[in-house]
Formats: sequence, C-alpha cells, structure tokens
Amino acid sequence: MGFWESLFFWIFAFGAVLSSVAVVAMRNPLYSALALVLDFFFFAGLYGLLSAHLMAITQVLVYAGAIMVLFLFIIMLLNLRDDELGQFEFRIHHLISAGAIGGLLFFVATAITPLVDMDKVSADREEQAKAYEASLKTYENNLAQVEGETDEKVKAEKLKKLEASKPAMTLQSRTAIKGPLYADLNESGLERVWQERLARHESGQTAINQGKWSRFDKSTPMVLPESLSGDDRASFGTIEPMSILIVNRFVVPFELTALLLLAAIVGAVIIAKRRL
Amino acid sequence: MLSNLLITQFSTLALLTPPVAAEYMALVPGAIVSVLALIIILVDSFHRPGTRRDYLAYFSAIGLALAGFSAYVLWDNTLAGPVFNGMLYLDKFGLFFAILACLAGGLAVLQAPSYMRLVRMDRGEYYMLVLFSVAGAIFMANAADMLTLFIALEVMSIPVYCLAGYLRRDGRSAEAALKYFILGAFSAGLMLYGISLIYGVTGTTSLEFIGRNLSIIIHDPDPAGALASGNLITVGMLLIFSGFAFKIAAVPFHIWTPDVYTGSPAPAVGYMSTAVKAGAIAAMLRVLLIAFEDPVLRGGFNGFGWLDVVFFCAAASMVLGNVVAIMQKNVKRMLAYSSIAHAGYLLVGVAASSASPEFFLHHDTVLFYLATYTAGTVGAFGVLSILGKNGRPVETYDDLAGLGLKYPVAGVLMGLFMFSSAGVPPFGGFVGKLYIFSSAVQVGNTTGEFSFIGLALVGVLSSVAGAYYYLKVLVSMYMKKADEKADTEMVMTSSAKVSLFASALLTLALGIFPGFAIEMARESMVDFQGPSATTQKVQEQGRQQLEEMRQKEASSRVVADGVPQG
Amino acid sequence: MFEPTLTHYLILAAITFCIGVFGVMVRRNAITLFMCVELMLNSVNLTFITFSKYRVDMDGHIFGFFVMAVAAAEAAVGLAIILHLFRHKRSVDVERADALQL
Repeated sequence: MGFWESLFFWIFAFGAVLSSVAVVAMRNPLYSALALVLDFFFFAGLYGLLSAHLMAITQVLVYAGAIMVLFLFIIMLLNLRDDELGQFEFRIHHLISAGAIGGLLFFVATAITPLVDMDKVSADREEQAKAYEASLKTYENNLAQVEGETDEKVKAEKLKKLEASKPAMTLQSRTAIKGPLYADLNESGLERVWQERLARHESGQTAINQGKWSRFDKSTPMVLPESLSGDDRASFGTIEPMSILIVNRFVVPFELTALLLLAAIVGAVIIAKRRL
Repeated sequence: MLSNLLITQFSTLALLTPPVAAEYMALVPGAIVSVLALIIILVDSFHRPGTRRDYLAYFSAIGLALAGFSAYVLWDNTLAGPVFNGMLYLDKFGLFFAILACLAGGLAVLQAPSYMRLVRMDRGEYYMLVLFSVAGAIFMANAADMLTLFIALEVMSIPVYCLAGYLRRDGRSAEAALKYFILGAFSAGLMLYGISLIYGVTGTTSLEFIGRNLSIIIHDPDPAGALASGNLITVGMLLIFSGFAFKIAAVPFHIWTPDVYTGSPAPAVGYMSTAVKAGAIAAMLRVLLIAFEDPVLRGGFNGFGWLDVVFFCAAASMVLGNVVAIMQKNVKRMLAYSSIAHAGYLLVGVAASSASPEFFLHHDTVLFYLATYTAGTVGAFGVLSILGKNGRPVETYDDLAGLGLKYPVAGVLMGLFMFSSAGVPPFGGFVGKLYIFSSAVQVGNTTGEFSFIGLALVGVLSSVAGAYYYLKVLVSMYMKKADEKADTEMVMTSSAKVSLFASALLTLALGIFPGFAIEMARESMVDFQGPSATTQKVQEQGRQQLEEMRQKEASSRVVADGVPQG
Repeated sequence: MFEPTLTHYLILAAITFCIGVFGVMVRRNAITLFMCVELMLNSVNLTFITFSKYRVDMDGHIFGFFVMAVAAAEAAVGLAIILHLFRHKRSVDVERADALQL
C-alpha cells in the first residue's frame, strides 16, 4: 500500500515537473500545449492520490478536455509559421528572473518545510505500524478460533462480525499548528477521521452551527443530508459532499460563477468577432 | 402560500437549510445590476446594425440609479453578521461602495454615446460589460469569504479586460487588452496562491474565522506551533496584498497602468480607474481589517507587518506617480500616472488609520477620498471622450491646444475637474486630500510616531508637484494657439451633458458641503462588520458620538425654529 | 522519507508554481505566456487539494472547483484577446506589441 502510493507519487511528481519545464522551454506553442495536457494528466493523478476523486475527473474533463482544446484550436487557427516564432535569444533579464524565481522558491520552501517535523512523522509511523501488526495478530487469532467453530451457522455469523472489525493500516500524524492539520495521513486514516467527524456532527457532539458553519439564522441548525448520515456515509472527496457544499454554504459564489461565465462569453464574442 | 410551498419544495431538492428572507436583501443591489445587464443584451440583440442605441445608455444609467437607490433604502436595514452561511455582509460599508460603484458606472455609461460616435463603434455590449463589472464590484465590496471575494474580483475584472480591447479597429486597444489581461491573470494567480496558503494554515476561507484562527495560531503558547506557520502566513499575506495592489495600481504593481489607460477607450478608462479601484480597496480593507487584523500581523509599532508594506507602497506610489506624470506628453498617460499617485494617497489613509485599533474610524477618510476621486476622474475622462481631432478622440496636450476657447463648456468643465484633482480649495479633491493628510498628522501626533507626519508631508509636497501637470492641461487648452488646419469636433450628446454636469455638480458639492458624504463614510465605518472585540469598542464609541451629534443638531434646529417666535 | 507527506505535495506545488511564474517573466509568445498562467492556477489547485486532504475538510476542493471555472472563463476571454491582437500585428509576440510605449 505504502509502496505503491509512494511509487506513483514520485512518478507523477517527476512527470509534472518535467512537463512543466517543457511547457516553458518549448519554442513552438503547439508542443507547449501538448506538454501542458500531459502535465494536467499528471496533476489529475496527484489529485487521485490525495483522494480528491471528483477533482481528478474534473481536471481531465474540464482542463485537459475543454480548456486545452480551446488553446490548441487557437494555435491551429493562427497557423504560426516557424520563422514567426522567433529565435531564442539569451538576455540578461532571463538570468535576473531566474535568480528572482529561485529566491521566491527558496522563500516559499523555507516557509513550507517547518510545517512537518519528519522525525515525529517517522516515529508516529513506526508506532502505528506496530499497533497495526498487534491488532492484525489478535485478528488472526480470532479468525483461527472462528475457523475452529463446528456449527456452520454460528461460524458464518461470527465471520461476518469479524470481517467488519478487520484492522486497516491507518497512519495519522499531526503538525504542530493548532487546529487539525495532519502531516501524514493515508487513505484509511483519512477515511476514519472523516467518518468520525461526520458521526460527531450527526450525534450532535460538535455543534454544526458553530465556526465557519455558523449561519445567520442561528435557530435552525444546518441539517446533515441523508447521504452523509447513517451507516453508509459517502466518503471524502466524492461527489455527494461536494455537491452539498456547493448548493448550501457556497451557493452565492456558485451563482456568481454563472454571471462570470456569461460576461466572459459575451466579452469574448465582442472582441474576437470580425463583424457584428 | 405559494412562496412557502416553493421554498419547502426547493429545500428538499437542494437547499437543506434555506436562508431566511432577510438575508436575500444582501443580494438586492447586485442583483438589480445583473438583471439589468441581461435585459440590455436581450434588447440589443434585436437591434439592426447601424441603428442608434443612445437610449440604452439612459436605460442602464436609470437602472444603476435604481440599484444605488436600493442601497440607500437598505442603509438603515443592515444586518449584524455575515449572511448566506458567511458568504456576504450586508453593512453600510458595503452599501457605500455599492453606491460608489453605481455612480462611477452610471457616469461612465452616459459618456459612451458621444465617444462611440467619435470612433464609429456604436454597440450595445459596452453597456452590458460595464453593468456586469459594476455587479462584480458590488459583490466584491460585500464579500465575507475569500471565495466570494475572488469570484467577484473576476466578475469585476473580466468585463474590464474586454472593455480595454473594445475598439476593434484599433491595434493599440488590442495591445492594452492583452497587457491588462496577462498581468491581471498573473496577479490573480499570485493572489490565489496566497489564499491557498492561508487556507492551509487556518482551515477556512471565511474572513472572520481566518482572523480568529490566525490569532489563536500566532499566540500559541507552544512555540513550535507558531514557528511552523510563521513564514507561511507572511508569504500568504504578501501574495494576497500583491493581488490587491495590482488592481488599485499601486507601485510596484503599476507597470500595466499607463499602457492600458492610453490604449483603452476613454469612458472605459474613467470607469476602470474609479470603480475597479473602489472595489479593490473595499475588499482590501475587508481582508486587512478582518482577516489580518491581529496586532502581530499588522506590524507598525509591533515589528514588521502589512502596515509597513502599505506604508512603503503609499510613499512610493505618491512620489513615482507624480514625478513621472510631469514628464508625459499624452494626457491619458498623464492621468494614468496621476491615478497611481491617487492610489498612493488612498494608501496613506489606510496606513495611518490602521496604525492601531483606536484609529479604526479614520478609515472614513479613504471612503470619502474615493468619492471625490470618482467624481473628478470620471469627469476628466468624460471631457476627453467628447472631444475629437481629425476624426479620432483627443489624446495629447497638442491635441487639446486652443480647445478651451473654441468649446467653452468643455474647457470650463475640464478646468473644474483638473482643479479638483490637483486639490485646489473649493473643489472636492481638496477636501479629500485635506481630510486624509490631517488624519495622518493626527495619528502621528497622538502616537508620537513621526513617520506618519512624514508620510503626510511627502503627500502634500508631491501633490503640489502634481498641480503642475494638471494645470498644464488648462494651459494648453486656453493659452496655446489652436491648429488652424486640424479638423476638431465636439460630440456633446444629451447623455454626455447629463454625465458631465452631474460629475461637475458632485465635485463642487463634495467640496462645499462635504458634511453629508463624510457622515455617510463615518457611519459605514461604524457599521463595518466582523472586526475583533477591541475594534468593536471603538466602533461603539463612534456610534455614540454620531448619536450625540445628531441630537445636538436636532436640538439646535428646534432652537433655530423657535427664534422667530421669541 | 520517500513516502509522501504534506510537505512533499506542497513543495511540488511550489516548484510548478515557480516554473509558471518564470515562464510568464521570460516568454514572449502570448499563447505560451497564457499557458504558464494556467500552470500557476493548477499549482494553486494542487495546494488547495493537498491542504484539503490533510485538514480532512472539503472547502479546498470547492475552491479548486471554482478556480477551474474561472480558468475556463479567463481562457475564453484571453484567447479572444490574443486573436484580436494577431489580426492587427500578424504576430503574437508581446515585445512586438509596442505601439503604446511613448
């Protein structure tokens, strides 16, 4: 599990960086655009690793599928000849910008790295791996006991029970920042935290009307919809929680987006059309 | 009955917990403007090419006036706390900017018909683009969440990019649009990266809760927590500020301004230098005063923070804007640099009144200055958009030579707007500048910090230098001899007349009777939603002062009425 | 060390963001410039989604979703503007667009 996730992360990460460099370095915009499409696929893979399932699909459909097609269409329409592209000329401002960007990257990186204390993360990982092994051992012992059961009916029932309590390898490690920002979280760890949080909302332990969830009308608290309550809650990053957020808390920006798209369409037509 | 049924049905479909009816009031001004824009496209699409569309200008101006009036009606019906699950505010601060945006938009659309006739581009979409942009500015001023703020910023900017490239036959307009667009998208990207880092640190995009969580994180007793996030907050804050600085054209993010202002159509420049700046200033104040209001982030007396950045940008914009404007030959380019200088004056107001929470109410200087700046600048671009030479609109000082005597109305109006922008006494610009600089001096005196007085001094000196280039316009209009061979023209449609006289009247009124607007600005700062408890105390004091003032006025009126009887 | 944590994703996003900014600064072709801006927006989305996972909070996904919508709107307008410029200059080189330098 951990091995495959790491492997794919590094493949996607190197792919994303290399294809981003290709976008900037290619002289012909057509090759840049194709490198960008490739880049978007790598990013979609990374979103998948981050359990953002809907975002991964939207990335492929909207970015790679719609926006980049528009780019390619315009590049083909302009039909730039090779001599129009201009030769690469080295200038002093390239060096200066490279220096400035290097400085920016260094600054941002020094801001990001203190977030995670790697020693703490690896210590937590070891501890959780040990706990997992221990729980796996008890599970196997229990399984062996159940296997020894002679009555078929009781055996099936117990097996079912045992199946539900099968331990999963969960990795969780907090950062030093106040508030729940994790430094390390694997898929099952994420799902466990998500389910726990929803269960607490459902049971009323954490008031859903507090914090950023607070509403203007304090008398009616935010209702948790069906797909996020009960035993089979939708998991993190899927379409249900996303759609519920969009039409409830974020309904105003959602409607504003309609305005934005309309203005953009009409504006684009005014500018690009030869004769109206 | 029906509405109840609809709401319950609707709630089972989508809105599980629908907002209460009062919350919808926050949408009213913006919704009026956007519906108006839709009507305009619909009407315009039935027009044949070549037919006159001047009435669309009146139609949109009346609609904008309606939206401004609705904001005025809502003035005393504001709500405490954010509405729509923390997405929008309905407070006097937002309504003030809604009125301002409607004013700038209305004046700018009324100038359009003359200009469109000068450049032979009479199209209805111009009005629609301005209206969409006004709607964006209104929502931006009301935003209570980073997401609403960002989307509204884009709704405001994207139509303005199109307006910059509106003159389809002019290559320079295309260049202006490209420069504005690329740099605008770039700065939006920087700002978004800042928002994402702040989201990561605080776990929310709502301004109020960003503010609360940030002060919890910064004042964490465990030093590891504060250490882990310190630099990240700094980077995020700087990136977000750079996005706003780009929109208000403050140095060092001003590079696009001169080119874009020169290439774009004049009435659109009048709009983009006022309403866009107003919207960005409103959102910037919201973000700085709600999300980043913690004294540690604020800096100033407590070390390095955003106050120091604003301070530097203010000084640099004033000096650079005024000095470079002197050297220009093109009037539009000169006005572009002067708008950079005006951004500097506005930032002086922001820096001075953010020095400590006790000066919170001094932010009304910024609001009042924006009102005077709007009236003067839209008017100046209006005069430029009605005068033509050799079949194209005037641009350089030479183009204007002798036009003051040939067209006395345009000359007098231009003189009025230039005097106002330069800060000559009876006009609005003077009162605005006086108000800002005296507030900076007062803050400097109270805190004993000389740097604010120094900033005010730099402002006064640079605005004196600025008077030179404003008066140069009048010199070339009145004292230079007109070019006999040139074919000059003035297209003064009735709508342009309305717009120019309205802005002239406003400039004069703000200069002679500033009390009304200042009181409105003060009230909007008193009603500003979302700051922390210390600031709320200051606001409460301000509210009591206003009450006392009103009572005194009322009693003096009673006395005055009583005099003839006695 | 090799298993990805919060920092791995964030540093990756920072690197691609900086590559995008570098592209905007040095490239002269307007279309490529614009693609570099898209690259920046994508890195921002990656940052949002990373924080969203490590906070177990879906607001970041929503923000990324809206960023995509904005990117689509910007792409429509931006490419129209580039087309408009190309008609006048017969080129998409931003340094050849110099009629406004007085």
